[in-house]
Amino acid sequence: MALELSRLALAFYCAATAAALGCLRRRNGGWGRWSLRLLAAGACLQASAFLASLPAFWAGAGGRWRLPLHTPFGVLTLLSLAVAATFFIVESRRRLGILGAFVLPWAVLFCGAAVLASPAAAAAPPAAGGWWTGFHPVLLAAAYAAFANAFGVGVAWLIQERQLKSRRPDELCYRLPALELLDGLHFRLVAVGCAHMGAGLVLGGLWARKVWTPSLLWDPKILGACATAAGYASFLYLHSSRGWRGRRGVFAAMIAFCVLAATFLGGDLMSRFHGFLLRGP
Amino acid sequence: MQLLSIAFTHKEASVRVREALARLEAGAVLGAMRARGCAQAVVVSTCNRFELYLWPAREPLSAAAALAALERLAGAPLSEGMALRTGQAAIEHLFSVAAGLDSLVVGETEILGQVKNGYEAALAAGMTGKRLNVLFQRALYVGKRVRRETSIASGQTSVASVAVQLAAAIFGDLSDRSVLVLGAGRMAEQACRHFVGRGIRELSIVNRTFERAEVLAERLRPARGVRVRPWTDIPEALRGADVALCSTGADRPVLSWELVRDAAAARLGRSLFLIDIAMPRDVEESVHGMAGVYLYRLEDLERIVAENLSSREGEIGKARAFVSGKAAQLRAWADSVDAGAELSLTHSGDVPCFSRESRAPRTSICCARVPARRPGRGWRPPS
Repeated sequence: MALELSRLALAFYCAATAAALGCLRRRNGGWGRWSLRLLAAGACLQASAFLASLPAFWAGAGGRWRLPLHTPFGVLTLLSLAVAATFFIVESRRRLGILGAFVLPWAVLFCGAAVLASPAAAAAPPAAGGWWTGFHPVLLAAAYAAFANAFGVGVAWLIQERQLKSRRPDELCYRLPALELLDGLHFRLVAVGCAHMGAGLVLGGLWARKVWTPSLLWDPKILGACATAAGYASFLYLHSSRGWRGRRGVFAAMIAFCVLAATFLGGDLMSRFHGFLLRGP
Repeated sequence: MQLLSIAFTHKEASVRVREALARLEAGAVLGAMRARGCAQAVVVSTCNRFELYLWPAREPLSAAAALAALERLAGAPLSEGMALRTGQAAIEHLFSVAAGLDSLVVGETEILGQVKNGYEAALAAGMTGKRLNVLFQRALYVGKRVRRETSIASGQTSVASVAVQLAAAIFGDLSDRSVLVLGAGRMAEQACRHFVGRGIRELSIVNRTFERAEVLAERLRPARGVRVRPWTDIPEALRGADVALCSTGADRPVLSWELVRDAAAARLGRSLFLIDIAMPRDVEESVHGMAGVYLYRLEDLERIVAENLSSREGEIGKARAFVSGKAAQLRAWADSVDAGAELSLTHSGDVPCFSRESRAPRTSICCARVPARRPGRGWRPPS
């Protein structure tokens, strides 16, 4: 059931992305509205898929009343949902219409990966601590979603800047949001992502104190996450007080995002404590 | 009876004829038509055209009689350059006018408002009936739809409006932006008016001759935030400006690379849009390479205008086909009204629909929910 719902959600996300790409080519606002509707439907379906996977997880050992956020299916579903929800919030506040083309591919990517991963129930790892540790992955997923959205906004900024610098702007230039608006949105998304990441890392740190071992200090995922947080925090500082706006700022945030992606995937392969995504629980 | 259109436009009529007609009050023209037994008439008068649409109800009003009435009002012979159309040709012409296909700048949007004003004036004078109500509402609908569904109105068609559009592409809403204008000539004034029209926060005018800058500021004054600054204030003014428009007659660049670099550094990375419409140049070309600085020269803006116009030209065929189709639909509707078997006409319907009464197929062509006019009151279109 969970898998079928996820497949359906993937179809809706693909349709939403196609409609958002339609916005790039046509100035009809209907494409943007349809993209948002399809996205909302896809997110509802994916949330249902997540809920449908709960009973089997709760029936397993140690999983009662906890969320399956240590399984590939659970993590990827949560990430995809977080990307869609963040974009939905941005879009409903700003009504920019065209941004979906740059952001929604992330939702498709995560949802597609979730479909490939099996939603089969897995026992909760014994080290997973109390109920409050469940907020650790949720907060980090929200941070990753904000950074993924910021990455998409950054790509849109680079395209818009290229258009304006070329002195031959075409229709796309007038359809994309204004450069300064994109810059402001990019900064805010990174700031929101940093706040969530900071909170998530603090919660993770509290849990680590309980189960402390010296090897935790050198865990690749923890090191990578700290490097990512430091990178984004530096971007925020340089942007607000050193004038690192525009291209420099966007590239700095993109490099931090690459570190994040490397941490998410590479760290997962090498980490003893967080290796549940690619290697399974 | 069928629609009659008498048109004097920039295409056929001389300036002398158009000047004579431009002086005519729409009310006087409508009164003259009413006096000659025509109960339905609308005047569309702009700087480039004077058009009279007549839909005689009972007694036919000949074009010659209408022209004679116009000549009497204008006090001059008008037959030169007059275009006379009847039936579907007249309907198609009105739709083309509303769609901006007949305008000097194809796709311009002002004409739609002017057609609407002409129609409303006739409504207020009680000079419209069922046919003209439907005709003009349909024309407004066709005008809007052509602009929405084709690129006929896309892109700006003047250097100043392109500059404002580019500023909006960089800054978005311009209401909180500051514009610096170097020079007080005609081009500068045109650009100032476009920026002021977007409700900018501040407009600083700098000119070597302070008095000329003051004269320009005075002309713009009802607008908020207009101020004049001395020539020596340029470095400081540039630091505070988001857009700088240069059109001085200086023989060497007024904004040097160093000046722009310092201003950009003081702006902490916020974008700076420079528009150089002066000849010789007012801004050093190399500043375009700086991060966050966008320099557009006169030829860049002119090229964009040319591309926009060419893109509009490319859409004309599509727009004309749409207009012809809608004109044929309206003609069919008008014929059905004359025959006493009125067809339905809907805005959205290009597919057959069925009448509730007969369940017989009806061609869906009607647009207008035209409420019955109350005695003594002109019908007002829904807002």
